[in-house]
Amino acid sequence: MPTGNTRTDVMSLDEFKAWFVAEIDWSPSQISEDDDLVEDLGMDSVGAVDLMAAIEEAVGGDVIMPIELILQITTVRDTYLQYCALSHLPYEGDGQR
Amino acid sequence: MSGPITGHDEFRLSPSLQTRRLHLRMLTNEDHAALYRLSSDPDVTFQWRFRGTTPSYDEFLKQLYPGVLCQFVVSPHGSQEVLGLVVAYNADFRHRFCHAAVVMHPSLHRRGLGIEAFMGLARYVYYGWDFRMIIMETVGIAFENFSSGEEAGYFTVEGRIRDQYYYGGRYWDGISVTHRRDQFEKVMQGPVGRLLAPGRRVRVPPPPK
Repeated sequence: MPTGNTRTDVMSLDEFKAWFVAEIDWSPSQISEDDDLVEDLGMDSVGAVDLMAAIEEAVGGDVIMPIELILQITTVRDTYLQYCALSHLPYEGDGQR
Repeated sequence: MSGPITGHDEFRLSPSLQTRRLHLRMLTNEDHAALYRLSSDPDVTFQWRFRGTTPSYDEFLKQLYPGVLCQFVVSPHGSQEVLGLVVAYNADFRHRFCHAAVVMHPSLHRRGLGIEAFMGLARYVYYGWDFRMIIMETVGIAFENFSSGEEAGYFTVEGRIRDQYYYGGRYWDGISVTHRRDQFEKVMQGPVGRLLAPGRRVRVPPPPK
């Protein structure tokens, strides 16, 4: 489990899907990257809280998932892309990461 | 699922109006027009206080404050943008409860931000008043946006009036939900606790033009 201000290595899409199924309580056992989180997987607001918290924890570094990234998420693939973005975007106040 | 959040205990009960992504701020005259627009949004109006009717701007303003214990505009950190409104109202000081309502811009529905805003309000209310519970009255069509929270222990469904409200060609249940002080303390141990904890923000580049 990541701790401190260090963000972890980024998962591949396949690793991310396996992580998603294992870590997200409301996830079915099989998911596709094209699945819509709401329409296909049944995510509601409470599920969204679980997902954001889990992604922040997976990225590490006590990072906050910004609203701009949350709004980009519709499918599992979108979720992966925003997870990747969150892993790489510089912290506010940092000249570079 | 994420484990317990540790190291943020001091943020569990605090008068802070900052949450992880949002800040709850005083309602000012400059917010009135944005809230009026939000109240008349087709995806909002039937579930908010005006229930699809179109009050005049003056009438809207008159109804913003009566019965209110405290209410806050929901904005992102570092911005005055109006994302929504959280309200605690109809406080009963003898029996120690109040009601609450949350309205968020439709683009933010099912994103968890309404829960984040509500938890910020609940923290403020439970810090400042010795209330035992916060009561929310909702409609089945809105309840679907957060219904899994009952099983997760975020709140308790106390009552349901079957087919109370008519929207979109069908009747929906009216649902009474309580969020009790002990539930607040309990859920703060899980992923919801993270919603009120500080963290490090990242810099998001502006969208390409």
